[in-house]
Amino acid sequence: MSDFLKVKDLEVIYTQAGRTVHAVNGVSLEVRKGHTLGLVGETGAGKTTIAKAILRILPDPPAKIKRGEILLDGEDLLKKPESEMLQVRGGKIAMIFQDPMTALNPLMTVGDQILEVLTLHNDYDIKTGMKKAGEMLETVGIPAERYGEYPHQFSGGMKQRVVIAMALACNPELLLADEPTTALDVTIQAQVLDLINELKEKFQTSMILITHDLGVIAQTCENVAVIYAGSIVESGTREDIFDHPTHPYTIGLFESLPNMTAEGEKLKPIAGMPPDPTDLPEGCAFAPRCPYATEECRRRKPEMKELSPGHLCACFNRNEPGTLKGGA
Amino acid sequence: MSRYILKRILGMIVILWCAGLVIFTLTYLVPGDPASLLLGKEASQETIEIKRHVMGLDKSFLGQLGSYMYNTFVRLDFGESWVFSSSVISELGVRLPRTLIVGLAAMVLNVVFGTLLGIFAGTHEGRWQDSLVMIIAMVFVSAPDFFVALLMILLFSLKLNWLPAYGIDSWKCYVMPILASSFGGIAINARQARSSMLEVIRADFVTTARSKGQKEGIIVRKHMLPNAMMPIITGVGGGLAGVIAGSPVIETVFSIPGVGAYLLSGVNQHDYPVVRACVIFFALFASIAVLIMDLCYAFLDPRIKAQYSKGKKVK
Amino acid sequence: MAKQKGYKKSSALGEFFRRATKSFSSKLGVFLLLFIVLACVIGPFLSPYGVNDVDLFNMYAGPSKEHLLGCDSMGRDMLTRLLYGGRYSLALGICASLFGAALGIIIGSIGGYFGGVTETVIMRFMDVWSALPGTMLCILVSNAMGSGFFATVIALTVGGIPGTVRMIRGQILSERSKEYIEAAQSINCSSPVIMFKHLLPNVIQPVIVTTTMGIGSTMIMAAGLSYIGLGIQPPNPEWGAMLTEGRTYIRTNPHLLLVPGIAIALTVFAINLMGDGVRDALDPKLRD
Repeated sequence: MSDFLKVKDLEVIYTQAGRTVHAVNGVSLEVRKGHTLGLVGETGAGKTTIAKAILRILPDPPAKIKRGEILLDGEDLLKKPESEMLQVRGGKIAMIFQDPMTALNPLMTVGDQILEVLTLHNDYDIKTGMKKAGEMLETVGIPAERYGEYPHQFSGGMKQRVVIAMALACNPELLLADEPTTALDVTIQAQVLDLINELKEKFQTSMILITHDLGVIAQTCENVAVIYAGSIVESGTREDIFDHPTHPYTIGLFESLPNMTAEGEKLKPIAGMPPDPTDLPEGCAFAPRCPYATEECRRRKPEMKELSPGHLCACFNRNEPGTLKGGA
Repeated sequence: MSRYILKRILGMIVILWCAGLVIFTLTYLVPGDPASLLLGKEASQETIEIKRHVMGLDKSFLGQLGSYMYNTFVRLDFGESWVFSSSVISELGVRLPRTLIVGLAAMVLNVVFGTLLGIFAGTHEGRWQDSLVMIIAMVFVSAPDFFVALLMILLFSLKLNWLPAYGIDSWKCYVMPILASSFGGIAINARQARSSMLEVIRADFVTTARSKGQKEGIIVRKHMLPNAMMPIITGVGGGLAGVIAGSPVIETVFSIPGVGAYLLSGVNQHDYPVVRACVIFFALFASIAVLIMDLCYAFLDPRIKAQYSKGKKVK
Repeated sequence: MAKQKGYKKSSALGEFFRRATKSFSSKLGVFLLLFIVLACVIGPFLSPYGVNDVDLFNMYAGPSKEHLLGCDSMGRDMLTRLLYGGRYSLALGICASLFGAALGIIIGSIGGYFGGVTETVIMRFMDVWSALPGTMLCILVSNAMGSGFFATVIALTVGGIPGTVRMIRGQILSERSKEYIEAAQSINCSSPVIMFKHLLPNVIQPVIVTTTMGIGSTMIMAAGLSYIGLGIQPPNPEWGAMLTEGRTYIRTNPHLLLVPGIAIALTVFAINLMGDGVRDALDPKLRD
């Protein structure tokens, strides 16, 4: 299978009051047709920025895509004129947003908001469009009669369903799901996640799932990329990452999770804080928090190295795929 | 919804009653006896006493208040001017259109130009267009309206001789009063529109609309504008009441015989039936304007509408 | 975005001033206002002319080396009168705004704090109060109380009180139920501590902003009041009164009108610029 979406060496900066925030620093990733890539990282690591950069909906100013390529079926999205990007957005690539409470226009009926995206990318007349929008509502489990209701009449989970219906309305080839469950109650999270998975199967959509929840990744993704301070530190298949976490940061993430099998063991949080994105360390961004850091780590930024086919890790000291205990 | 409207109208009537009470008391408290002031220094004590009786001033405070409230709110009779002995209500009827023409026209200018300028500034945030509009707005917020009016007279009437400086003889006479009473409001609306525009520009649902592939121009019209308009609409009612309440000053500058000028002549000549009637008119006008705007707001915003139809009160 | 700058200890007031004067326009406003205030306070002492010194040789004189802003219809030096009158105008604006804010805060806090019947009574009373437009109340009260300084301050104050009361009470209502108040209660803070240390700073901020801005609009209202023959009257050199005197000579000597008018506009402009700065400084959304 070929890579459907290829992001190469993407760099995004924000300029604010004379300071430069390095949000994304040379990120490369691939998504295969029909596959899901999980993008894991802490808040502020640059996950959402990557997704918005792919759609080119970053607010400019302050954000600026400094370099890189975003290849969709071999075409560089960053080189496309805005008029062609309009066709891509919502058509080929759609996005599900983090907070359903604010992602919907409070003054438009939910049906009309779905209709908007449908008529933008199809030659429907209003009547067919409305029928299709109603069908989309049914698809996400909302009765079509609620077409004419406003967002404030829906609960959070229902709103997220509307957002999902909007995203999937035009059968996108790629879905960018930006923490689609973070703002929801735990009980609703599973439902929404199942719905996304189900619809993804049904429409044969590729997906980038952004989350900080490793559990969500385990349920949904074929491939995983771990991102720290705007750079990918480790990537591979789900098995690579979950069974052989190698980068000290990935290991740290797993160790900070509660372990069901080892009773009475204390959680190990990762010491320290993420670096200031206006003032990133010269070498490896994780070095200040890394128990294995050496002098070299502080001077030079490590490159991604292939440990086993498809499993890449950016660390000088870790050259073998790790084991679950992280002690290797 | 209709229950809500009814409730609001009833509340309005009660408040007008109380306002009448306040107005009467405030005019009653003015030092000096209106009868002797009216008749001048030469009048004999006897004539003054007779005049006082005719005007009803010989009654106690409560007695005067009672007959005032009864005449005004039950018989809807605003009485006669003490100075001119003419019916106050018919005089108001003649003067009202003049004040309303200026007020309503100024309000339309306020909303239209204020909103357009605010949107223009908001969509150019941080660039020179934004700074320019905001500086001009700040200047007009800061300049007293009657000073702007006098400057306009200086320029357009005395230097250029384009427009008459006073009177109501032709439509030309209304140009400067309308402009002078709208500048401040345009500036205030522009500032308000800009800040609500900025809030909306950063809203998530705008990003959603972008992610759908919607064109920027349509996003502004279909998503940003309706949401940004909401706070502006809330201000329209109060703004209109404010423009009308500012009419005494503007009507003085341009010598327009409107309600505001009527009120001032009443104040200066201790002609309290005139003062009371005018102030009641201003209060009535203000409450109606605010009520209509609240209803428009409820009609346009589904969230507020839902609250009203549930019968809940919104504060 | 998290920062690793360590703790920066700075006084709240210093921080406030730093933020309030961050932008160029608010700096300009503060300096302009300081300059105007200093000029009005000190200026009259330095002037070689008295406020009411009549000089019949210099009636309607235009600006010259001796009289920088010219002279009025009685040959009185305009600059001296302007600076002297500035004391009136500024004092009117500041006193009326502060007085109104203080009254509003007191009444509003009583309503918001006690709730129940007290609150209902106060709020209904405010409804009636605000049924009369502020300008009307101002005209009526000024008419009833006469043209003294204190009377004018009261007249300028009355219109704004219901707004402040509503704002304070609304703020108290929304803040009272927030979790930081519960948090303070849960660590056993006493009621006064909660009231003054936690509640008041959060409640009062919008009032500070509107009061600052209000000084400007109050000055405009004071001038307007003089213009329609109420409030402070000529020959007192209050700016509005000077403007009123000057309007008679609009045809022949427009500088008599322009000088006080521009003085009002410039001062209000400075106050509003500063007010914008204050608003930005107090808006938690805009912090860094």
